Amino acid sequence: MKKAILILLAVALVAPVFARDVDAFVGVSWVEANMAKPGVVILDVRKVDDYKAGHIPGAVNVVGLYIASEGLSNEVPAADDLSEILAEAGIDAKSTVVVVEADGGARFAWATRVAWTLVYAGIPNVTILDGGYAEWTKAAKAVATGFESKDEATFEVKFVDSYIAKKDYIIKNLKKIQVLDARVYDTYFGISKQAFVDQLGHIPGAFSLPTAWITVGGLVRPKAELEAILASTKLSPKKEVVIHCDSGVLATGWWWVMTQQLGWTKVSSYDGSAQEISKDPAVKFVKYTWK
Amino acid sequence: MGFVVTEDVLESDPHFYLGCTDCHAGDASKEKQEDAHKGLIARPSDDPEASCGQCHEETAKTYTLSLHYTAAGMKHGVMPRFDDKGAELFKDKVFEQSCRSCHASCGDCHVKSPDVSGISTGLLDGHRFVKKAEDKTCAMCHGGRVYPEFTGEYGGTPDVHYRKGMTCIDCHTGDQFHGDGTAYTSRKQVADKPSCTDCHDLAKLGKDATKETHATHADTVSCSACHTASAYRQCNSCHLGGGAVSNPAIVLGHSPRTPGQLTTLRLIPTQRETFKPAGISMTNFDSLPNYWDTVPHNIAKRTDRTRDCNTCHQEGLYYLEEAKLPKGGSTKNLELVP
Repeated sequence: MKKAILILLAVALVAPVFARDVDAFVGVSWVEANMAKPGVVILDVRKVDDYKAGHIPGAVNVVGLYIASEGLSNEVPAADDLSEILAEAGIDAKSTVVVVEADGGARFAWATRVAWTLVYAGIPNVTILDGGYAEWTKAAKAVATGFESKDEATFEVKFVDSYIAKKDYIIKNLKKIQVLDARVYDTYFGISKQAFVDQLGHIPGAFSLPTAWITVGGLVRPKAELEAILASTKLSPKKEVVIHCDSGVLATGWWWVMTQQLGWTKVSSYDGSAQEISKDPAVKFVKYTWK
Repeated sequence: MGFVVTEDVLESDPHFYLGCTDCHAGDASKEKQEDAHKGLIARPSDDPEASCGQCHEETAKTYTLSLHYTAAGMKHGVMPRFDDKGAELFKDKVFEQSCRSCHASCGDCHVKSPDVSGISTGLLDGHRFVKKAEDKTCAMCHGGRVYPEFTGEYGGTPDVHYRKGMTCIDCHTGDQFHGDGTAYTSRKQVADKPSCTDCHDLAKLGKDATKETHATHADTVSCSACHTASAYRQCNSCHLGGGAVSNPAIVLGHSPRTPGQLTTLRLIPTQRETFKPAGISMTNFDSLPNYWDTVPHNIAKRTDRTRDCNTCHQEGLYYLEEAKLPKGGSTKNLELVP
């Protein structure tokens, strides 16, 4: 008996602790079954014109959840602006928010970027429609047109600081932390780079794991596959992980999977990413190496 | 192979009570394409009154005088830089052959997206006549500056109005698209153009401090000077044949068109040698500045200027400076430096 209790206790201690009441990803049938429930907000983050042309009935449209600021392409809006944007969409800290992007392929990481922003802002129950709006229309579900709005909620962001990594902290702790590079292999290896990134290659010692591998055929891979892919990196869940990409979008793909689906607790996403850190003379990228 | 015009399209749009040849001419009785297409008019609405005007008489009539059709703004905006001889040459060799090719026909907005430098995204919805499709029409011609700044795709902040679901026609009314019957030479002359105060009553807007700030600045500072959210396109070399290079920035200076007003300025890529390849010199180049007052379409309630008065009053962060003026630019630029 004592042994059984000890085993249960051990499992409880190592098992992921989720503060969420909804899965990290949901399908069309979940959305259809829950979209009319109080507290559920379907958040369509596609372009306004696309939303107006057709959207999930009752969905609200919000753009501007990542903005260019101080030379960086994708930054979190100021706290007062973000609070207002979300409150105007009828979202508060207790809402269950379903993020809907255009698809689960090219736009997958933009969905996770929005979802990351919401949980970072203090809204724990955020999920993503797997496959995005394309999956909704593929299932021939009802579609509404025009622009819808919800009653304004009362909401003030409470940022969860552990979800975001800052440049100075990364540089200071580079030898202690595990850096995960979520860009494609070519970029990691130093064959090519974005124009706004100053150095070819990657941060020395960074693990490579492209966010593009999370999905297949526009849908998120089964959990067991994601765990197996992640295990191949030899990253330790016991040590701190900082994920980056070029401009803070792709990074949120693995952040979302690791923290919200697989239960990793020591993971942050680096908003400024290579766009920022490659300009710092303290960090010398390495190329033509997988280490 | 699919057809461009399908049965479905024909049945769903009342315009198709007319046959193809009613608009496009040609000969429908001929089987061979070369025979059927003899006399074909590919763009019937290049002549609005002879085509769409057969039913939409009034709209077609005003449209032929509108800036979208005449492109007169492009001509009159630069004319003061020429002497009489240069002005004639410009009209014949540049405006008619280049600028005016950008004029929009009815079909460019209601049937297919307009050609811009030979690129069009094609029919808007089969061959159906579409009332509005701003992201495929307005966005094509105004896609260098206005539209991507409005949606945030240029790399800034989406305009607050766009965030709230508003698109072009929500501010720019039908008269502004189709003309009001007056042949204007500049969009600045248009009688009925949108203004922030059409919707936002400064006397009632916000808390007391906001009201006071608005009252203090209303006569001397444009709305956009404070409420432009992020850097917008400054057109350094887009039309100079050397590729389009743009340095985004917020630039504040004296308005060249509204004396005494501080406003957002946009660098216009006309240089002294711009029309040299056409054999035209600009003898009066210095009569106009290189910047025009502009309203960047990325408006936000809060910006670094609304949050902190020191952004302008102490730092003058975005103010045009003499040292930053383009080399060899117009001497008129100096008048814009605050």
